[in-house]
Amino acid sequence: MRRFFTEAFAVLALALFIASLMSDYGTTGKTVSEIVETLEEEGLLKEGDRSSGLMLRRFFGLEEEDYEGVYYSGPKGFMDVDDFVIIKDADPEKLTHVMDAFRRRIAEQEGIFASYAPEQMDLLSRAVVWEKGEYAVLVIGHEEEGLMAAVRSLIER
Amino acid sequence: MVFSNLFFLYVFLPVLLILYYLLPGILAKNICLLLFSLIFYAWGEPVYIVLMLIAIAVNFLLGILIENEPRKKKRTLVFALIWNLFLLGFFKYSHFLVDTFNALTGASIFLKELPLPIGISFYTFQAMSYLIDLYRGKYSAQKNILKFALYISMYFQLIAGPIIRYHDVEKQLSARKTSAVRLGEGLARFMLGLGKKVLLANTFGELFALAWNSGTVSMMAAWLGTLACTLQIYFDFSGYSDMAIGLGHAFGFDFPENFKTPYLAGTVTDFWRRWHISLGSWFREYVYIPLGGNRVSVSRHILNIFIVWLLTGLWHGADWTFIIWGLYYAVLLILEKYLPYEKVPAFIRHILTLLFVMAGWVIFFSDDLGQAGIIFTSMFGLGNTVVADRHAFWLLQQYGLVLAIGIAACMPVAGKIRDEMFERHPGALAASALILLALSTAFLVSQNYNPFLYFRF
Repeated sequence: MRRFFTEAFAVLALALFIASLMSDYGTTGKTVSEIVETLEEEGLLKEGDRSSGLMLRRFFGLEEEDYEGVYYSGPKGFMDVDDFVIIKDADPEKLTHVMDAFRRRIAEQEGIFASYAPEQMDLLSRAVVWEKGEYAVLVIGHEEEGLMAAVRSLIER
Repeated sequence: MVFSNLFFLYVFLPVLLILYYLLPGILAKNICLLLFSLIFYAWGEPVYIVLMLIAIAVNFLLGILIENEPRKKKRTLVFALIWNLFLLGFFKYSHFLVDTFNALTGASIFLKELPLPIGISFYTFQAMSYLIDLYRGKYSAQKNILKFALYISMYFQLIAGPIIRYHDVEKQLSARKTSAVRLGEGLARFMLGLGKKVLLANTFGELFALAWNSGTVSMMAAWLGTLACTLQIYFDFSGYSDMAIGLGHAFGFDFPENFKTPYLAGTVTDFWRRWHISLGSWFREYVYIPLGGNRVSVSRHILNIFIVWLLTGLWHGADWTFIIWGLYYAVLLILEKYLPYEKVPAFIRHILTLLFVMAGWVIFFSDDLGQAGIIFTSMFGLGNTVVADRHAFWLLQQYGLVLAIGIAACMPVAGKIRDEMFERHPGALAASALILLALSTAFLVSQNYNPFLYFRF
């Protein structure tokens, strides 16, 4: 009996610890709406910045309704390279797909602006593609350092 | 937390020493040391303290089970080994296995990436050695969980060795001597190790990065970089071992030596008797000898060597470079064993050994085999490699003196001076240790986080 309890304890304790680690993303779990609301309150985003799901599909090939939460603020003019995307989903495969789409978008933009638009190329070279737990974030332009720091502080626990 | 950290040097260690020396009796001292060890471990990665506590509890209970149920002790040991190897394998190798499987089959299995628990390779090996030796009847099971927890979690050697066997410290867990002399000797050894790490290893690390990461690498820069990484890993790891042994000494423990002037080895076999001795002896005792050692047929002996060195490579990390590095040593050791190597003059054997070891570090330090190939190409002047360039001469000018000091410090004379000072000139020893502490502090103030290389193993 003592053997059974010892071995059961060994297996269960390790299994529970691993399960808790695997299910814990080390994030706050905030919804995308909550994050965006806070960013708007801090003046880092404006209410009218949000772009439509159509733009997300056009530039990234992503469908807004496929994910738990999506926010996209895209470029307003042809020469703008401002992109801010935050997507939340617990499915890691979906997030991998999103991250690929982010990188593809940057590569496409670089293809467009290479050799004649140094300012745009500079912004693209500073693009941030970031993944943490159930979140994927892309920031190009948008004063990326300040915005990214704020996003991280809202997502990371 | 790392030893080469100002908070550790000027807050954590002094507070612990004062408390430890003020507390009466072994029980209070053990509790104090255990609590501080857990705080030390939890400092950077608090979650994994739970994993270590689970490992302590499970191995403690399994140890008692092995002793109390002798007829089923083999079954218990097998369970214990599988459990510990699963613990190590899951956290250290699962990603490597999944990535390899995905690459081979085109599958896209996803596994959440978890940080490697610091010191897991060391404490699981300590736990396994405790249980195996207990099974072999070398000692009785530890019935006091505080003492067992202290054996597993002692902060001096918890995160980068040396791997301490239970029989080395069994008696010291219950009774140990502390004195002003031991404290002084221990701290002097600690400061010597600190100087090795901060003043030498970190400087060689800079040279190594500058030499290898400079785009096109000239032949001279490739050799300088290789020499730098050869010296860096020695001073980094032996420095850590000095610090661990010194701290152990200050707190009343006597740990075995982990390095004995390895770069003076006459053969590769000899090198591995002098380098990371605790790991080599662990594999010899718990893998090589149980497999039959050299008392088997030639083919079986060769297989045994390959198994041991494949595992040694894997122990260092879940990466193909470590596996190739391990197998590289297996091939060298087999050649030494079965070719008439002893007929080669001793001096040439020594030079060859150094070259083989340096080539090994090239594989070990490379990000992948492609980078190792580029460095080897540069070292031997193949392809379009130039013999020397301005960058290489600049490196030699900047780091020549410290390279000379490093090479001299690898010689036995450095150890003899140290031993002489320990035995006959305590005043000079104390003064030297304080100078090293002051210099190391000055370097640490201006440096960023600089963990020990062996933390990642």
